[in-house]
Amino acid sequence: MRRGTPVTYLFAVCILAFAGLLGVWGFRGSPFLESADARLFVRPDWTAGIAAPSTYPAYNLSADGTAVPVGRAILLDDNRVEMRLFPDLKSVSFDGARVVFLETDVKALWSLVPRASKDDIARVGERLVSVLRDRFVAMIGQPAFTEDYRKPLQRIVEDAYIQMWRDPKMQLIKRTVRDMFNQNDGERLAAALLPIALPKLRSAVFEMMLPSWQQMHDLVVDGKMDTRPLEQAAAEIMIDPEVQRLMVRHLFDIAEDERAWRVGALMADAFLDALTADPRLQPLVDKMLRDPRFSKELRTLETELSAMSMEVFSRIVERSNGRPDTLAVRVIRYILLNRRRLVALVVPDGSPAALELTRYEPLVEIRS
Amino acid sequence: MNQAATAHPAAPIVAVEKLTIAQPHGRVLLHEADFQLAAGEVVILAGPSGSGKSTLVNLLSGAISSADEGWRISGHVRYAGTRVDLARERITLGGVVFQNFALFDELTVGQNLSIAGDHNEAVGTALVTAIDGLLKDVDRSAPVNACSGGQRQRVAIARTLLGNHPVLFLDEPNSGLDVSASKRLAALIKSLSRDVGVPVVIIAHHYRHLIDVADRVLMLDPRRHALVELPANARRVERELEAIEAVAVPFDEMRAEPLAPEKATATIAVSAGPMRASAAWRLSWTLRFLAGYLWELCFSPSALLFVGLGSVIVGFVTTWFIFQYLPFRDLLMPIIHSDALAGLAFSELRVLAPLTTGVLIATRNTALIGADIGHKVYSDQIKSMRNLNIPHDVYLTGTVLVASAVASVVLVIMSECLTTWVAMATWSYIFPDESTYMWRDQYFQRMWPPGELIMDGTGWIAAKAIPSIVGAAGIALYFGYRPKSTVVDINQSIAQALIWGLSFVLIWQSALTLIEFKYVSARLETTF
Repeated sequence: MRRGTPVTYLFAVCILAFAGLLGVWGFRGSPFLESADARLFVRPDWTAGIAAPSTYPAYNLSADGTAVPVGRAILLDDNRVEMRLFPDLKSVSFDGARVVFLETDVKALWSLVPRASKDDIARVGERLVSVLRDRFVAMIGQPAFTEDYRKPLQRIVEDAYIQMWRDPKMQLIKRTVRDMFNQNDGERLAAALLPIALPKLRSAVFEMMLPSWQQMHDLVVDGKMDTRPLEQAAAEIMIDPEVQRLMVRHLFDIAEDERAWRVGALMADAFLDALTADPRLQPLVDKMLRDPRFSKELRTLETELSAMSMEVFSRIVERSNGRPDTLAVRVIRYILLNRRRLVALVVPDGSPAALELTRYEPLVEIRS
Repeated sequence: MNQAATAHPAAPIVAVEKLTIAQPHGRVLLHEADFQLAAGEVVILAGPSGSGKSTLVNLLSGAISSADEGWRISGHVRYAGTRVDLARERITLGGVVFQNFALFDELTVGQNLSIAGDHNEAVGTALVTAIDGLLKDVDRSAPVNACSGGQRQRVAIARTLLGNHPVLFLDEPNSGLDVSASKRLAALIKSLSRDVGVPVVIIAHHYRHLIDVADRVLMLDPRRHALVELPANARRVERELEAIEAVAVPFDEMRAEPLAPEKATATIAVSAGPMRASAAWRLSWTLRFLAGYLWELCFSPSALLFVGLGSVIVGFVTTWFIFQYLPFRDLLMPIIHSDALAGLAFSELRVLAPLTTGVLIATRNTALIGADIGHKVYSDQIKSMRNLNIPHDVYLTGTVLVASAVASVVLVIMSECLTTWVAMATWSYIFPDESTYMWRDQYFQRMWPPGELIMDGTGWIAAKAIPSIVGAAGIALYFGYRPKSTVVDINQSIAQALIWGLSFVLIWQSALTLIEFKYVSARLETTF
């Protein structure tokens, strides 16, 4: 057991003090910086049920949509949310920005996707429709389909459709769909489609109205009208690329309405329930997929779908720097884990991200 | 101190009756031996090597008793109207001046004296005067290591006298002295014996220069297992020794007779009064020893720097290699960055920092404790403490364990601080444009969420660090206290303490970490 000297005692004190200072720095932050910029906000009602206090990461979305961690949101109690920004961030401020809370679901994931990526995904969607149509047409155009599958499938689908509308949930869906399509979106779509459809329809009607003795005879004597020009025009409208683009875009617009997701999910649910409940379906589909006469079409379809799904996933996750986005990955993880988590976003007013997040209500600041 | 100091040398004040001593391996040294000691007389205890002289002194000075493993002892000691059964009680009848003096190295001359005085009854003025006379040329504020051999011997005698024992034993006091020094020592012993009235028993192989001051000689005769009283005559003693050695019987042939006494089964008591062997601790000395060990084991710059270096390495290496050598770094970093930081915090602060601290401090402190205690055992300081009623179990064992516990807490906290800062600095070097507050937010997202008073897992860290470091100290104490006859024994005890101490730290921390992983993994999973 040795004793120290005053010099060694002083040295030991210095070492301990130095370690303590570094510890404070490491654990609590630089002693040379001011404390974090913290603001209080009203806690949104929809977060009721989430225990407080609990904390969630806060991000800022850069111009290309990349999420950058900037602070932390703390649910203090049932009424208040505290937002703290990291003190050493110069470029982020609550001033001139809105703070929104997102729940980590598919809707939030879609909202985080930048506009350019959404356009890319829309194009993939258009291609998907085209590919599906081509493959489908190719398959059903084969004699094998007509001979062995058309009628059984038709019966199954018809029965499922009838069964679906008998589901009590569909009454609610009917009302919701009526409300949605009564709104401006439908009118906008119609306004966009009319310039394309009208000329075709006009010529078809004109063709129908051309004076012909045979037509007059059929109409007067037999009460028949030749509607083939109109059917032809309708088919041309449906395969028009511009119409398809507009329809897909409109579908995305509808998709951004939360009710659309619910309605879609309910309808799909009810239809699939009815479809899968039919004991004839499974053996028929199995037989069709194993049918060597369709193997070429199915292989092509699989390859194209795989490439497109990869592209869609990349557009959702990647940002313009070519790297996966931290927040998008985090949201996907929570979706896959089926965990309810929140993230806060500090969004500068007028930024591209602000436009994508318009459907989220900004938090209301509590000013003392 | 014995107030019968002025009694006539012929009047016995201590009587040992029917003393029988059998060693752990069965050899009987004495069989029903009797002897008395008178106040103020000088007695030389002679005998061939291995005949049991030191054992007899150890027994009467409390270093051994029938409670110690293997020893079989019977007989009685009478002193000042008290009769002690040696089969059932440990006594400290005599104060021993050890051959190597057994002074406490870390204390000054004055402290060596005052620790003896503080743990024994106050001595009379005659003894104080005698001690002053012994130490008139010794600086009491000097460390004992600064004194000459002669001075150290006189300090040892003075310290033993302060133990206030009825008898003074001197173990080979003239070993290594030249003729004139031996004669001066003999004169000193005689005058001391006369002045303080204490019987002095000298164990000496080289008794020729001491026998002139002796009143009689007690010869340990291994042939008869008896103590034979002889006149203080050098030629007579030599003849007797030659006679004994001429018919020396191998020890294994002597084992059968006479029979060793039965082993005492009752709990061995400690004697009270002048022959007490109990040791009462003093707060001031406890704090003094504790401060010394705290400094040595915890706060000395070498300990702090040692742990600091380990912490820097842990903080740097783990962070650097995780972030610099990640495969597909550009692609994976945005995906795993946050979780990697949280995982780093767990591995660095809950596993590696306590483990590194435990290993480093166990390495350093087991070596120090093993060397310190081993040296104290080898140099008879532990025996001396027992002999002087100084409770080494409190002042050494207790304070070493307490200091180790304090060291485990202080040094682990320091390691956590340094590891955290170095991890942050390393990360900041790799990502110079990123916010260190973001690092902190993500590093502590699971270990220390905002609003929590203490870091999650503090209990686990304490459970790993404190018992492992204290346990390693305990292992070092165990090996340190084992008997040592050579310096090699000290080295071996240090090596054994290191091996077993480190093994204990590794096993303890690994086992607890595995349990911790199992316990917390499910809970942590829910936080992802």
